[in-house]
Amino acid sequence: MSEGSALISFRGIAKRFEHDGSMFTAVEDVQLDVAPGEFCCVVGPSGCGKSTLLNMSAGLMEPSAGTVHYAGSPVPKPNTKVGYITQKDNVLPWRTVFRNVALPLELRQVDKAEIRERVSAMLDLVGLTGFAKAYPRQLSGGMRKRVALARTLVYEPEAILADEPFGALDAQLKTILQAELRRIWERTGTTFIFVTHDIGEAITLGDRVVVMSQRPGRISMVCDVDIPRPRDVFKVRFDARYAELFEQLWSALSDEVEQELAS
Amino acid sequence: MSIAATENPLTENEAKARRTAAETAEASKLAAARRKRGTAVWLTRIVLFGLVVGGWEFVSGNLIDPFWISSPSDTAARLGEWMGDGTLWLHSAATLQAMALGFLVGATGGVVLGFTLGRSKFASDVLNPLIIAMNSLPKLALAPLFILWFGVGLESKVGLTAVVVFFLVFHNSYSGARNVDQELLDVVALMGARGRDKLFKVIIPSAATWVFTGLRLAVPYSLIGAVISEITASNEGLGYLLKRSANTFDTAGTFVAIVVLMVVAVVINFAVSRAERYTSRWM
Repeated sequence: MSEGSALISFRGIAKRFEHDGSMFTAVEDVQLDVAPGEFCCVVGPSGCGKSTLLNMSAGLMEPSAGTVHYAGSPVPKPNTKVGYITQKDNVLPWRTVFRNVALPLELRQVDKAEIRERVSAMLDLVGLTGFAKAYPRQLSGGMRKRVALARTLVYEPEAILADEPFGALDAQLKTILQAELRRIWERTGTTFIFVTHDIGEAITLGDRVVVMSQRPGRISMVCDVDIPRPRDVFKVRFDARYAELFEQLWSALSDEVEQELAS
Repeated sequence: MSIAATENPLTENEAKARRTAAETAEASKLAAARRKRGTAVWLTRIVLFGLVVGGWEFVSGNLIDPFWISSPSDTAARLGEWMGDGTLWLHSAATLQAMALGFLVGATGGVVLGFTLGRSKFASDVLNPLIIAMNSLPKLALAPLFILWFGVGLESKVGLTAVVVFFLVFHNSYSGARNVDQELLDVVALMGARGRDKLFKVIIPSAATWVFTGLRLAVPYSLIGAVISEITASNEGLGYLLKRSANTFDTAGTFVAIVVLMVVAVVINFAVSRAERYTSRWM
């Protein structure tokens, strides 16, 4: 893919941090182009800099070397074109569920009646109907994650960065929300960079799966998911290609994990 | 999709309507137990209060000279007298006025400066030693200075109260403004929030609990500031009444002043805790 057509492009990215007086390198030599409308999943061992890549795409963090481009120009700080579902849910504790989800619409001066309608629809979608007036402290971790998800989906940003958004959910709910996300993506054509540690989730959702090595994080493998769409999230795991891809990704990842355990 | 259902969680009555018979029986059993215990607590309090007042009345004149401890009946008589001739209202009003004005000035200054410094890393780094030094100073030690500057009237009382309140509120507002979660600010910025939105939708609500803690702490101290100022040098107020009574060996009057101060403090603290419960309902 040429640089011009990518929505988000990483060129020669490295990020070094100072921690307790010593320096360490989180990611190094990352080249990646994410096309408009692509669903790109990133998997890798913990601490391989997946979140760092998201933070750089959001314009919250500057690379130590290289450039990140968004729609052809350097990423603005902050990049308001993207929605970011952070690993921590980051809901506002003093706002009710309803007002948390309404926040991005309020900021866009959407009128009250429309906010009401869109937020309610979104709460239904993520299974939080009836919790509109609850405060975040009254919710479980998984429910707060869903509030964060709803808050990002509700304003339909051009691209969504998601950092293990379904990590804390139970298996059934996870599958249901994956199906919803897939459906929304097929309808809206939102570009996704979706970080996960769940290979099955990456294959189910992604057009492409990027595997990162352990620290310093590099891209060790990029794998196209050539299972046709629309995919049935509930049945895709019985597809023959699913098993092959799983096998392939698993062996790439387990090498990394073994190295991590050995070191 | 029903907006009504998402917007209105169960009201109390609906919740009651959904109870089963067994649950209703259990609920009334629990309520009866709570009422019984509440009655016992109140009865014990009344008996205890009666014992203390009765004991005081008995001891006074029999075991200890009333010159030192007065008596409940003399104190009550003096209270009635001062309520009748307006003395009490005059002095209470003077103290409350000094307190309210001092609180207003000090709290406003504390919140504004606390927020400003709290959001500016450089300014707070520069001023940090000064802040620590001023925080360590017992503020009541400034009373003589204010009387020297402003005389024995309202101004010096307001000045001392404002300083005491200022530092408490400043310290909390400053900490509150500094402890705003940067990740929340980042996430909201990505949603398109600008400076003003961030201030009103994240920084202020996040710091609000700190600020209210500061304000709540400051309320009783504002009373202390006003009263100390009045005791040091003044011509009206509950502190002045207290000092004048003690200086003229009027024990009953001294007790009246103390009791009235206590009542004022209790009422104010109650009002503050009600206000706080409302503003921190999400916690």
